[in-house]
Amino acid sequence: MSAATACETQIEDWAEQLQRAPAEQGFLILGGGTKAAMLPWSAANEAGITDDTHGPVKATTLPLQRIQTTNLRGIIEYRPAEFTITAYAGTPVSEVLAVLGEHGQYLPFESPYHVPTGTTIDSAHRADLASRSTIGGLVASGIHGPGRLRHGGLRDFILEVRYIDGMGVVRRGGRRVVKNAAGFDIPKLMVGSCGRLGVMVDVTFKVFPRPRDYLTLHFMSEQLEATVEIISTLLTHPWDLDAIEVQPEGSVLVRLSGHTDALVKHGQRIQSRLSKFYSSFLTGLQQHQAWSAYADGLWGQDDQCLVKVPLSLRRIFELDEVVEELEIQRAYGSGGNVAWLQWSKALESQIARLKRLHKAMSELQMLGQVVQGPSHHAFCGAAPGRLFFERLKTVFDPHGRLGMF
Amino acid sequence: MPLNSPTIAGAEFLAKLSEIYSPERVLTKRGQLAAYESDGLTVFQSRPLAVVVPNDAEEISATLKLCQSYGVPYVPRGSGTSLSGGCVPHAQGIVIALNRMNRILQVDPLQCTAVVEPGAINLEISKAAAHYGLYYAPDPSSQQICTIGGNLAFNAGGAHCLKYGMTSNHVLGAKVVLPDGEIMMLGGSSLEHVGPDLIGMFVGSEGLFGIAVEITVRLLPKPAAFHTVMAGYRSMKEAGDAVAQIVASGLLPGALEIMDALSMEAATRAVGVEYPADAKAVLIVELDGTTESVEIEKVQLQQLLDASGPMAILVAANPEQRAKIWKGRKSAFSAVGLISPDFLVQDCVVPRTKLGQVLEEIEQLSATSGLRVANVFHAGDGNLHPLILFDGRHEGALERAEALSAKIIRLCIEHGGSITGEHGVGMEKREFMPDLFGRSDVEFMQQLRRALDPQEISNRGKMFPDMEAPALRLVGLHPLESQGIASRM
Repeated sequence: MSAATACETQIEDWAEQLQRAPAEQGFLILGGGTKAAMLPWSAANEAGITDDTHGPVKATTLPLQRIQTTNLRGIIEYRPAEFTITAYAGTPVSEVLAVLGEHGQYLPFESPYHVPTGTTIDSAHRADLASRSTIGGLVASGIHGPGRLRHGGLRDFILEVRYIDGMGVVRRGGRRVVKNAAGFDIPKLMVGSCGRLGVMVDVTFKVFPRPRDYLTLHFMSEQLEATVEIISTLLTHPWDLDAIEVQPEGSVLVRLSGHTDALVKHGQRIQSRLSKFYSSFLTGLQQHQAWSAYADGLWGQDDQCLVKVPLSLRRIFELDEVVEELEIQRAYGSGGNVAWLQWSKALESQIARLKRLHKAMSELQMLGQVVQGPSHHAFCGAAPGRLFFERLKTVFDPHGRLGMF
Repeated sequence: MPLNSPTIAGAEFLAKLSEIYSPERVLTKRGQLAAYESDGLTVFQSRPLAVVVPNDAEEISATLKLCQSYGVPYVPRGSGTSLSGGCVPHAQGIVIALNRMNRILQVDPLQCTAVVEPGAINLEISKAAAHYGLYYAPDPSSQQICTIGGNLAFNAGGAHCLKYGMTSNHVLGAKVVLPDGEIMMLGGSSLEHVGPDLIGMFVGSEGLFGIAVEITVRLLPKPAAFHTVMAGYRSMKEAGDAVAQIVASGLLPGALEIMDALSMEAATRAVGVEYPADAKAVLIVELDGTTESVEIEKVQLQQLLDASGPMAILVAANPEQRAKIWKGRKSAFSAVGLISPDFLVQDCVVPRTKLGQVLEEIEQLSATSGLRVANVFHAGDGNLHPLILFDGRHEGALERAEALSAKIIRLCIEHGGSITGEHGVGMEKREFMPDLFGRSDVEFMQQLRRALDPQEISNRGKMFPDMEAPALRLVGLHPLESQGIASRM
């Protein structure tokens, strides 16, 4: 039996499993296991945070059935001339990146665990995440890398998704072409859905030509006001920046990409415009080390709580003040469009701080996603649009077998 | 319950509408309704029961609640430039005209966003942002007149989609009114989101999920440099091959467009743009980006074009020449009205590598049907716009044009493409939805719609096949096109 045939047989089996299961049967969809916090079912009730934040979890008296999507692995179709690639959901991200790299292409939104300036990963934990993370897991979590700034995020590059709904019907949304305006944009809805709408079985992405080279500017800044000034200057000039990430200590990494010959001139122009801030050029190994260290800072520890909070530069000070009081470390990514909040403590402390953060963010009317931390607590803070989602959920998964938020 | 007759319920409904709106904002007279009877796809026409002109979200919410309680269908409408019959009214329903809600509420240069009302004109956003060196990227050809609300509903595109994406890639959030009148926020002002991408799902839903009343869009810094080139070829195939070479080289142009001889003839007559003599096709390529990168990439592009055997290459030497090239391209649709009394516009997408084959097959279908087909399209993303030319005064001509149109759509589906790249399904292409997605998945989408709108009153008759949507059939240019105000695509 070929690998593809085995995958298709597996998909049929899961569909049948869902069709035959009683309404109260809960299912646990597992990918590479890199983001356990987004799982819907767990021992979280015992941990005692669920009721305080998102209401009671649906009771399930039956043992959970597991769906291990890493059983679905492989590239289904790659058409470099079309800028599209389709892979089974359990395909490791590393495998997809390697195949694209052979043809000089890449996923412009970037994997959070991989650094585009080189392939080496020194941190054992990040290397583990990079090897285990799956393409379906990326979509389900909606987490991408710093490259999101220039061309768009995961949501902007997903074209088609095949999935099994909560009733066990295999469905498709979208189309394998780079442009399509027909029907509802179900692929986008799947981004960040944490497996609550269906079992993703394959995904198609639009891809782009990979930049020929990179150059990084490292700006020193200790005050948030200065950091915001640097970012706002960078964003309002036509500099085609790949990434702007603020490190926990306040310095700013700015990545440019393109033709090697153009990068230095381009970088000098930016330096000149922001000459009141000290900056340096990073290239080659030094550049890769800087970006690796940044990624390690976010993903290099296994005993931490990590929360992603969408943000705007206008509100960065409000959030910063709150998390400062909670003694939470933060980095700001995508040009101030996302905050990464992290703390590393024992489980009780994680949960206690998460509760306080939930309260503070609810007051700020902000929503955060718990990417790493106690399981079954995918979100904290205020969730706008919940009613819209819940109505759609009644169609995707009428019995709530795939879990609620 | 039909309300287009003077029933008690109809009178009661209109009376209650009048409690929401001042008299000048409830239109019911035949002359007042005429302007709302069709959109950019003039083959569909229907007179609504009334047109209301809200000033704010609360009035819209009250209107939708009223429609809900009386089961009256409604159609939201901006400038009415839809090319898929997306805002053709329902004869027993009302039109909610959003033109008064046309303010640009905020341009935020710090966050690079704008907050606008649905009736704001697409191009006005870029004009408002220009002071800060920013612009709104999606640029449908009708951008001088089309509204952002319509762009959002139909996920409008434009000439720069390959690199910059469509409307859905630039809408960050929106305050929306659901079909039951509930007002809520989807998305936000950040480039990032967590949880299911609800605003992504709302964009392109063709008004079936409700009405966006306040929209936050992303603004981009205007590129520092452009390099726009027009190359003439002896055949469409040569132009298509050049596109393949450019894409394979690793260049990512802002735009890659092809026009055939008929489109060139029309554009020359309409706006006086001159094309290489005897060329059967022209390829327009535009590079954009930083000055440094464009300087390098234009050398690379020149080498690629030289190797593709063009008859002539014209490089825009200044912004005026660039504007002229784009004027010819963007006017091509409505210009076709000068060489044919009537035409149908298609909007299919095919995988880029199938372009040559599909164009040849369209040519054969054209010859067999005896109808001329002009081609002007976004070659970079495989989005074709075959224009089927016919004379509606001849009996059966419209039916023959529609039959040819259907064959072209099915051809594109067979080649792995889509029925629409940027115009939406609307009324025009709804019968092809099962061919594209299969009956089961189309039914699933209908269930999603009913989860939000059980009575299916929001833009009834669009997107899904076999839906009740009475419409008369007429032919001819849209009045705005006749006056040269609007153009298609």
